[in-house]
Amino acid sequence: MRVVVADDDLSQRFYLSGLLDRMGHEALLAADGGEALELLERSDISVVISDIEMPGIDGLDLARAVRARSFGRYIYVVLVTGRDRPQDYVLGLDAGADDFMSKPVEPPILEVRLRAAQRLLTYERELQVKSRHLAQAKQQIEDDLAAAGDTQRALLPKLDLKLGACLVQRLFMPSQFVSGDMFNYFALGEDRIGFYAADVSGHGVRPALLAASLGHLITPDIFAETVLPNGSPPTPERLAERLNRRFVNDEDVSNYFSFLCGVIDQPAREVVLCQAGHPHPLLISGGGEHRWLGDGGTPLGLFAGVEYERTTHRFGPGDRLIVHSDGITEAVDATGAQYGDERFASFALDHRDALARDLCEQLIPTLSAWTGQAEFKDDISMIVFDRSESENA
Amino acid sequence: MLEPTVRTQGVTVYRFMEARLDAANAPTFKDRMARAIDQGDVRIVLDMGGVDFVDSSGLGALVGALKRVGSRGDLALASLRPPVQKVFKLTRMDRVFQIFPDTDSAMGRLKET
Repeated sequence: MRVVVADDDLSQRFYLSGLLDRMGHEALLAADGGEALELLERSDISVVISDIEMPGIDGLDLARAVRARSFGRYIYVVLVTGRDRPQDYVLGLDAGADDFMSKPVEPPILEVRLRAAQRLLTYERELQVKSRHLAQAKQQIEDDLAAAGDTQRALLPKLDLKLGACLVQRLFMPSQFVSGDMFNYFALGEDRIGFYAADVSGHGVRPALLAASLGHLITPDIFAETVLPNGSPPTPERLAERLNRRFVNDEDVSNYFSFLCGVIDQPAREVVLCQAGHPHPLLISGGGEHRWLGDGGTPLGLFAGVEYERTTHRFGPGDRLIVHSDGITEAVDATGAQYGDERFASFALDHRDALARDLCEQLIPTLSAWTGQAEFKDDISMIVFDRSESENA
Repeated sequence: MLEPTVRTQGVTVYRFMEARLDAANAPTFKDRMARAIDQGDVRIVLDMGGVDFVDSSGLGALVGALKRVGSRGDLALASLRPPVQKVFKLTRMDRVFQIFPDTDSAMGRLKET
């Protein structure tokens, strides 16, 4: 082991370095605290044996300086006292010393002191290695999750997507890396738009896996073949029933999800919905009135054999349809009060004339102001369908 | 979290003692209910009078308990507060669970069966 020896007395330095040498250690000599600090800075030595009384930076100052600095390793400080005074121990411990020896230093005493130092330093190094491994593992997990989040985002439709006479915008904000929310929308022929939104119960990776698999499962082809088997009228309830059959599990209810799907029929100026436990979508009419659509419905994956229903609503030129996940309305403030449907509707009405893009951008700071936090506990997602004023925009 | 408050004629009233049934406490609630049911409490009134909020995890735990009771007995919910009623209506759970305005009426019904 290499040890820094600090003493203003040359004979003491040589005496200690001689002892250390015979024990198989190597001593680096310093004439005062300042030199000792320099040696510690320039080397990877972790043990310093210092006289308490020295001119300039004395042993106590040295101990304090060692504790105040960050060496990236623990420095074990042994102070050597000339007289056996209790206050030296009090002051020494207070300054940050680990151990003491009194003069004259006896070889067996020096040996056990160094062994104690070795024990602590070994323990400290093991901890450092462990914490480095933990940090690496954490980084690896976070990198993987971030990559998974990117993969999930790649499943989402384009921003600012124009589908027929509708401009569609979206907001997708996982609470952590990956989201239990999933949605998509696409053109079904020239006149119609199909869409769905799902929110898997729970938070974290498990619901996100199911959400992503829904993203892969519900392709435009599957959607069209299930919801538009004969062209008209659309049957979104069949998609809900099909998914319910696929995901229901009598034993386990941890993999269930709320779902909403629908078809916007542009010439008919209608939207046909099937709601399965997902929040009611919000319709803002061109005239500035708002309505919550749908009658509710059982979430998917809970009970076998549930029959789902469709509802039909007017959705004409100038109207805006907002589909959202409950992460928005269930966000709570410091007192536990929810953001709620009414505040969300007011927010949407206040931004009635804003572009859908701005509505989506404004929602995050608005919610943050409500919760008082930059990050949200639940996944947040929203789709905004804007039907243009003109018939064939 | 879950305290039995009344036990009479084979019916047990459990009161859920927390203000929220959500992702944070749903797993514990699920385990506690499962233990009670497996120990033979299969006619249960769950007093939800103190609960302001049930999220999807909480709802899943309630459905899990209902399925666990199954045909062995009854699980009735009592004293749902308006925000919880709203979630039950949205998810149609108001048609799945037996729901009563208070524990007395729930017990009355469960004792008959």
